[in-house]
Amino acid sequence: MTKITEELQMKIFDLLEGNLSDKEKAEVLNMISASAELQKEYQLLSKTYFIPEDDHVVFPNKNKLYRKPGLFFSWNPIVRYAAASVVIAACAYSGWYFMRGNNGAQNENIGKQIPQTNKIELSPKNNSSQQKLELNSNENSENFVATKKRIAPSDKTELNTQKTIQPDQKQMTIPVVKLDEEVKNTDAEIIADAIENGNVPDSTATATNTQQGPVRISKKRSLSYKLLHNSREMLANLQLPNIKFKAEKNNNRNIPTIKMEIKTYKTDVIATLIE
Amino acid sequence: MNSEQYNTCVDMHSDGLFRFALKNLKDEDEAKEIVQSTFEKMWVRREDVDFERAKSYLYTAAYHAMVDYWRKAKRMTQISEETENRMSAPVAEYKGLKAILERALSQLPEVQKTVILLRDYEGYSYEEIGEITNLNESQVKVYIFRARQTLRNILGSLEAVL
Repeated sequence: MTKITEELQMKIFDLLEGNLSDKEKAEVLNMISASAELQKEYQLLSKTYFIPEDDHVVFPNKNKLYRKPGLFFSWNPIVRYAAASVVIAACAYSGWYFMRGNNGAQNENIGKQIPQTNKIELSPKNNSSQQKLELNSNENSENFVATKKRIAPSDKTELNTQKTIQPDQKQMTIPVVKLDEEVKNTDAEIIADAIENGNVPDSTATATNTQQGPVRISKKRSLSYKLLHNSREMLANLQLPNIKFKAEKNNNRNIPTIKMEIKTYKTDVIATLIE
Repeated sequence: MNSEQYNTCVDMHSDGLFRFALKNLKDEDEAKEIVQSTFEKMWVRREDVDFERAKSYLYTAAYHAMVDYWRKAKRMTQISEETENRMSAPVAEYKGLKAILERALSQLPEVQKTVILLRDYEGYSYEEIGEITNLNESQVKVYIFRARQTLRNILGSLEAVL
């Protein structure tokens, strides 16, 4: 009769657990086969093993555990960084767009401070020292010469001490005539419309010879001065296709001539008397 | 681990984890809670958990959650009458070896119960069980041996009675 010691139990345990080498396994099996007590001990210990297949359990709330993958989300770091970059870029663009909108509004309010300069120079024929463009539309215009030239940077600085956006500048001489009556919807407004329509960027013309300093002219304001028809021709030479000119006859030979600094803004046109 | 791999883990391990918790705790609601919180924890930390190590992570987290549960249970000064009755249920109500073994298992200390379940149901090695339970291999082997001795003794005494 074999006394079941803990040492023997451990050997049977190691056999059942698979902890023994083939040689050790054979020795323990021989020992068990030689003893009824060890056989019983082997049987009892072998019954202490649970068999998973006999005990299948299903977790009832499995659906609560599942997670849906995010539509645009990935835990891949590259994808995440790329997505973050897109978001940052979108924010930056939105900010820029917003600031740009504000600046536009500010430009409307402080239009005089950030002009885009074009010069339309109104001068008598003999005052011109510039490239000349003869106007032969009628007898009243023969005293006037339209000239076009590029304004030197120094000229621009002289005319405008504030920050100026570099424009495509043009300068020309345009005869103007003072009207006794207020005339609405004048050429100046038409020109201003053309400028605002972008046909000739940053250039327009209006005129006054009765006051110094800037005169704000917008499409909604009436004008007291009117360009002569030959002025319109000159403007036509500037290729303002959207301007439609009406033929007018002017018998006033004492047409004043002035030089104007024309500054255009988003909604307004500023005409400044230069001379 | 991405969400697809996480869902694969749910498919592969939720049932086994539930069984592991249920057999340890003998409380279905608590076992469900353990499984739910364990997967929740893994989802939160899925960036740090490799898919290949997910099972080990789940069982480790579940085991720690059960240890916390046992600690709280031990603080209770009174044992519920229901539990007391269950502990002293007559042998005659058990049918078959499996039921007897289940009964015997429930009488084991928590750590022995855990190592037996991990060993038999999940097929973990001593080393893997040690990683889950923070024990070394020798300790795991001893705990398993002691557990089987206890189970053997219970089975032996019941066989003697029957």
